[in-house]
Amino acid sequence: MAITTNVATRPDRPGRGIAAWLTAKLTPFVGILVFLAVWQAAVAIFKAPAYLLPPPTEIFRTFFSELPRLLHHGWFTTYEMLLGYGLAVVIAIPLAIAITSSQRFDRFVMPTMLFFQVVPKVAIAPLFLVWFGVGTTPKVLIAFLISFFPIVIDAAVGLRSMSSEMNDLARSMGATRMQVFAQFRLPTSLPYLFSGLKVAATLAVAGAVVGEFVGADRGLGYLLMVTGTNLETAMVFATLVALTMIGLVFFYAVEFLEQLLIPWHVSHRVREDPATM
Amino acid sequence: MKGTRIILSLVAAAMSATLVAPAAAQTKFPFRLNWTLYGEHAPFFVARDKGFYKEEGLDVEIQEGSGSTTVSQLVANASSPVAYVDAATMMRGVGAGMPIKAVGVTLQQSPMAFIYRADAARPTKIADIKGSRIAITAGDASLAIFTAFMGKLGMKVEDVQMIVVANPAAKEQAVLNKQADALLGYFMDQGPRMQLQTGVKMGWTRLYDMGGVTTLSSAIITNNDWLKDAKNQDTLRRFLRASQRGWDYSNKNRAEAAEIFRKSAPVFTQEIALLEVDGTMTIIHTERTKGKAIGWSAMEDWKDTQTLLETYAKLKPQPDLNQYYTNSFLSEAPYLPAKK
Repeated sequence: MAITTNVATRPDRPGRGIAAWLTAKLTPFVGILVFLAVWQAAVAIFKAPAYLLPPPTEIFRTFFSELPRLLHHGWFTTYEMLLGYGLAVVIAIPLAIAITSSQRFDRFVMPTMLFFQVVPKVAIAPLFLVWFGVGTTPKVLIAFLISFFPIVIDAAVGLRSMSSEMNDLARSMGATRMQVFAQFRLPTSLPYLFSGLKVAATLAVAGAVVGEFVGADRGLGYLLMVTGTNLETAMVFATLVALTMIGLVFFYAVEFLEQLLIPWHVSHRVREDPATM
Repeated sequence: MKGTRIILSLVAAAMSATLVAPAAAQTKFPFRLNWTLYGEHAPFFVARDKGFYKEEGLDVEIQEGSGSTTVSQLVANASSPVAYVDAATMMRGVGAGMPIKAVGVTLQQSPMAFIYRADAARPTKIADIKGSRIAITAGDASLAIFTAFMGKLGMKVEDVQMIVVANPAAKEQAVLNKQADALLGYFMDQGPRMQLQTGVKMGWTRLYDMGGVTTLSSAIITNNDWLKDAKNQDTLRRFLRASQRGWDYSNKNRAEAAEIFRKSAPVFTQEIALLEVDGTMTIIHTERTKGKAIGWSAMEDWKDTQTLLETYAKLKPQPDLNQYYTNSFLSEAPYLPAKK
């Protein structure tokens, strides 16, 4: 019964599909609008002072009037985030390959890596400030540290995920070790790798902001601290909106890349979704 | 056998303690400071350790803070109903709608200064300011007065490279490591203390000496809703009286005040603690409040501070200056407990 209803509302059925498609696309926005309306009403009803909770209208007004400032500082945060993330990708993927190729190497690096993952970044960030100053370096390093681990782990799981039968098949057809890796092992690992990359993408922006919180002369984390000290709460929220947008855009950019590189995987998942919901 | 005797004596001690307690019922009274400990706080420790609070029936617990803005927020949401913060910073809070008010102003001139390494002294004059790297701690008292200072000199905060750090120690490290030229701090606090702790010779220039900019500074503030309760009013009056007595005593016995303070802040040497107490005592009055009770503030000084911050630092002015403060809970010298 449930399955038939799902089939009936599928977007690929012509005619009735458009309304359903629209509803499906608009529902999240309606949800956000209702949330904002409740917020606006709550501020008005409970007369929340502006330093505690500004109404959404005030936040959006501030967001647009302070857009140049947000863009200026947002650029630095984006730059630090991208650099840290890029560094994590460049180091994590070869490392994952090395880990999966050699058990000894795995045992050799894993404890150190775990140590760097487990140690709270907020606690070591002040040390970075002392070592590297208030410039870009400490932020990039924290963004790197925070996004590094999920990529290594997921890439390693992915690289190990190829079945031994597949390996035997490839070898029996005369594939070299290199060919097995490039044409079988690596493609099989991509879905896992991308889930790691996506998790890391959401973390990288947090890493850059943690770095800026400890000490900075620019960036959105810096802006948060200055406007917080000046009790410009609407501006604090506007900065948070900007940060969220950077995070979301980056996440969807990675997801878009995923769709380009492994369309077989994503399309497979998307087609299955409605039936499982 | 011996163990039993110890337990018995402990029980007896505990019983006698509970028996005595009602007679000397002490009201618990948490008091949050603006910052980590420095010499300006000595008078409160004097009041505590010399038993002035106890004589008023108060068991005062002195807690450290992490900057006037942050502490003002704690007062506004009543998690710390009474605290010690920078008056100019509090005024910004009032402008933003915080239900808080000053009930005694202990520092009536601003001690805010550029504090720098003596071997790289900058900025020492107005021409040096543009382009200097200035470190501040997020949530502390410096930004309000610094904004006014820059405005009065015809500049903007953006004309310096401002480095904002998260914790009190980080701005000191930034200057010591030469990542910043100077930090904004109190001339009688960071300068001498950093010199003591690191051996690096420090120098400082007060904002007042450079640009003639001053504001009312450290004040005891309370939450307005908390203050509506008559019982709290009475407690506050007693707390203020003992605190005034502590300040008065410290002013007259500075070496002893420094010594008492060091019991709670052992990193200080007697020399530095005394230097800080001495520095503090030079700014406890303005011209208008000379000869008045300690903590008593003049409406004209509030007006001047408001005008300065309104003109140069976007402060939302209050039509009624009584929104900011009241002197009505203070006592007159010699600040002794009321006779019952």
